[in-house]
Amino acid sequence: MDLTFTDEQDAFRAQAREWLLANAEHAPTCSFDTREGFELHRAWERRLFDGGWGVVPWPVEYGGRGADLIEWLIFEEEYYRAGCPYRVAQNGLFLLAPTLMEYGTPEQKQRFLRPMASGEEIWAQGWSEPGAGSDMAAIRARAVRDSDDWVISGQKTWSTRAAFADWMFGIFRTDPDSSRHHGLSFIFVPLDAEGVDVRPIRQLNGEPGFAEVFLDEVRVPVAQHTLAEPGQGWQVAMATAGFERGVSLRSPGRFNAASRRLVTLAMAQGDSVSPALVREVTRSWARTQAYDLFTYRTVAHVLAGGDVGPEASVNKIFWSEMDRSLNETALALLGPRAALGPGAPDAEADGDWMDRFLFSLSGPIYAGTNEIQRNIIAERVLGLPRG
Amino acid sequence: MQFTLTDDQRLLAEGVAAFLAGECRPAHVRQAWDSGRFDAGRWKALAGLGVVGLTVPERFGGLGMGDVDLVTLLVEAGRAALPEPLLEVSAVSAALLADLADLDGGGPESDEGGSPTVDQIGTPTLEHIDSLAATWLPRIAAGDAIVVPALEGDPYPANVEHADLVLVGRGNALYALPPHALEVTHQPSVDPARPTATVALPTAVAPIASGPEVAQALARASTRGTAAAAAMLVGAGHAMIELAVEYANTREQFGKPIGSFQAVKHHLATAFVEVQFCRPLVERAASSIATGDADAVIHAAMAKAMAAEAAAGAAKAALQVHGAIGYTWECDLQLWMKRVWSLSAAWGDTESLWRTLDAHVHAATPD
Repeated sequence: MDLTFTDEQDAFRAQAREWLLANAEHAPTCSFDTREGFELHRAWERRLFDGGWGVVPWPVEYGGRGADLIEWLIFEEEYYRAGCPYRVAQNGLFLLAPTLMEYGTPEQKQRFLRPMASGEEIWAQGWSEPGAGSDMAAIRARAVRDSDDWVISGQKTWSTRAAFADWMFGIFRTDPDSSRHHGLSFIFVPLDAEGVDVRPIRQLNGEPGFAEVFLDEVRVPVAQHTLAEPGQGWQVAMATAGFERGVSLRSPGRFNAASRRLVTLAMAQGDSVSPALVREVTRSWARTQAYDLFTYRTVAHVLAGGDVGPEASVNKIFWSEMDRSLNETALALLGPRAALGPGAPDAEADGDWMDRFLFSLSGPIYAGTNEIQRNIIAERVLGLPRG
Repeated sequence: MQFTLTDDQRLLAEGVAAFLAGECRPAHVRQAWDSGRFDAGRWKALAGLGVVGLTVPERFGGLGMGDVDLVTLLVEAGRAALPEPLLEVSAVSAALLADLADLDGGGPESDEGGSPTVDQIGTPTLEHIDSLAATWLPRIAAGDAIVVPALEGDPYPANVEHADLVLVGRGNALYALPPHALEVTHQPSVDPARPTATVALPTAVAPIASGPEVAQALARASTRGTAAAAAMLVGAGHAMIELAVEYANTREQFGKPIGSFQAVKHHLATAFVEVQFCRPLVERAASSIATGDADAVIHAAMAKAMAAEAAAGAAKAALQVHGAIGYTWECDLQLWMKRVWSLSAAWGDTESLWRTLDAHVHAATPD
């Protein structure tokens, strides 16, 4: 056990920091859930990519640096420390890409990875349906084979960033006689295809962060657009879910930066902060520290050849509830100013904390609700009976 | 930034876990409850495995390993609700004696003599620190002597009455005396397997050593106690969850095992998440102590504050899952619950530790 960074890792950090220092001013500070904002964030993805920092752990041939997971964590730490924004391309980069690298053909990787990395093609995730949320196996959207095409019909919902995205990866029922998790396939759908109707849904923060996607006999070539074999959709989706819950989606850097902001907020109020709130800030800090260390520990396990498996659910519960709690504490610190929003002269940071708080409320819901995650832990980690 | 254990560390932990699974079952812990003391035979066996003297320097008959090597063994000790004073003797006292031996000129001892004579036990004062270490460390490693700490910051030290020697820290001074030469007041607590007392120095007694370096060694020893307690709390937390899982898989109501119901699942899953996230904190604390990291005190405080709360949460969840039967003297769950409640109050009670962390986080210096 050696919890220090090597000279090489320190040099990597210095490189990242240098680039971010020179380029962070170009990062958009606005939301990516508007047409204009989305395009500004796409341009930021392009800048990251051109600088060689967009997809740090990817192979060089796809625009990455071939960095290992520790270096990726270091980059993420520096990225958020520099005040850079959440990644508009995250669904593709952190969820689809690892899945594609594991299950894709060389041709698929060639076709899709670089445009994904450069921001040229931004992806949304098409999993949930009105009748299939936590119960993902209840999926009904179907893809019927017609010669060389899939003909896709059905409806997806809660598809994050689908309002402005270019492509969607989704799970569809390709075996008409199948039910539940059998007979599903993982298919890529261009959102500008004929028959696709994207209807943005306004979220709590007033923005169209997610959307319904109606598919009316949308034709998509089977070749290139099917990940793994038809019928393997559930298995592939479970791999993606693992990436979503595990290390790849939420790196500690993001929460470490939030924790620092929280401490700064508390310190700015000096002695007027009650001991109770001082404690809450300390607790948030301690939990972000724990998350940071836990992630490095998980990564060490993976680098040594280990699997994450159902333990990813432990991870997801912890970061989502930690984040919500951290933002609750921020609002408590703001006292009567907590509810003030953008444009209010007395608002702290233009209402940024309320915005973050609202987003943190969704954490225990997306990427598999925390109730589902607790069921997974109970059944697959602890060994309690199913059903 | 590598959290990996070596194969040797893993094998040793597995070996100790296997030993404890056979030799420290609930019935054995209950024997400690009934007798009010730990089992000398099991202690001797642990010494034979190299566990007791794990961190004792090789020149004093130990394995010369470090805090990180010991931490997984402490987790296993917590998992077994081990009554023997592994924390007091191995994690704290042995390390303190080794630290002090290094201070006083350091270097390997000469080869003269073997074990100290019986006359040297109970001597109220010993002239030289290295003599103290040379006298006691080999006996500790062999499982033949119980040396426990009574340090400031731990007002109710454990296992004092059954010790051969007590290392008392007061200010920047260290005293080394057998319990009969001290004013020991038994303080019965909720955990009969962890007998506690208050220790006061009689008036006319001289320290073995004093000074700023001694103060530092005593502080380091305290930090070790805190970190070791955190490790045991993590083990205890896991044990209680496992006990509850076993119960929930067998107890049937409404036609099925109660573990089938989501409320039961969620109680235990939540408890599991909390305990799991303490593991890296515990390991990091051990590593920081081993490397002399300036923030070792903070890391140990964080590890124990979080582990105590996680273990208390696991106790509540496990008790709730057991229902009424968990509330009986007969149910083994209390062997762990009471250890958790006792250890949580020791080596830095949770509130004191959080205050230390408050001061650290809210200091004027930036991250």
